[in-house]
Amino acid sequence: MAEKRRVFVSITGNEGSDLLNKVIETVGEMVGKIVDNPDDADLIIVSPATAALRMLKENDEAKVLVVVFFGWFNDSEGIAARALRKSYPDRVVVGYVVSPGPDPEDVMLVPYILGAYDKQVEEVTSEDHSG
Amino acid sequence: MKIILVDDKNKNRKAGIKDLTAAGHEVIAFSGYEDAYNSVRGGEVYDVALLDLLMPAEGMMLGGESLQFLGQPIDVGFSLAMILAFMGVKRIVVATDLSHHHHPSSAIVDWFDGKMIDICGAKVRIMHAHLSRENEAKDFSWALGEAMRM
Repeated sequence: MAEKRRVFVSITGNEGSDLLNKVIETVGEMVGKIVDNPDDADLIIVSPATAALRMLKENDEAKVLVVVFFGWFNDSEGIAARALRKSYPDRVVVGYVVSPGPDPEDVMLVPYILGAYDKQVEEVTSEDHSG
Repeated sequence: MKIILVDDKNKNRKAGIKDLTAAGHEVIAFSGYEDAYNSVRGGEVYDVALLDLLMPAEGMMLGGESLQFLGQPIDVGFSLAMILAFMGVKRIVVATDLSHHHHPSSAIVDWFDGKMIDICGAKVRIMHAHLSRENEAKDFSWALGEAMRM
């Protein structure tokens, strides 16, 4: 399953976003194939949460990993990410990368997040959202 | 005709764009209400609006703790119909594909189903959607027909 997963990565709005995109794409390649269009993805890795909501509406099926960087757990970004998890419990999981800055080593925590994600996927149902 | 189509489900938007474009209409589709509102506020003029009822709450005007509502389904189709009517769209259909047995806002649609409402000179219908037999996507061609019957 992991080899066939199609992964779309979009990290925006932070200092170092370009670098983080490249690193997370590398992580994404560990679990699947990077695709250029969110509509083609099985898994979308995205930050910030407001962008994640847009991705959820661009693709009705994909699972979405919302990445919260740099200790924003209690900040608005953390609140928004957890809100999406609550709103889309069958599709969204939130991964926290607690570190002080956009260093490539920080996001090497992402494989652990993806591990948690895989576990989550096994447990989810396919109940639809929205009307 | 130039049609604004607003629905958070990609499946519905794709089907609506395909069917309505094939029928010769110009379709501008949005996945959320903020983009739709901004389009009309920015000067785009539409003949018809075809709207979903329940859509996820967006970040517009939310901050701090209120972001806890992000993504929760809200019955924004009612409000969007009113503001688009106020901004000059003359024919508007709000169509939900959610069963009235499964959501209170969809149950409220029973109050309006089949009736034409005048809002600021616009003809508005709020109703349960028909679904395509092919893929169970919302049938926006049918919704446009309902808009033009008014």
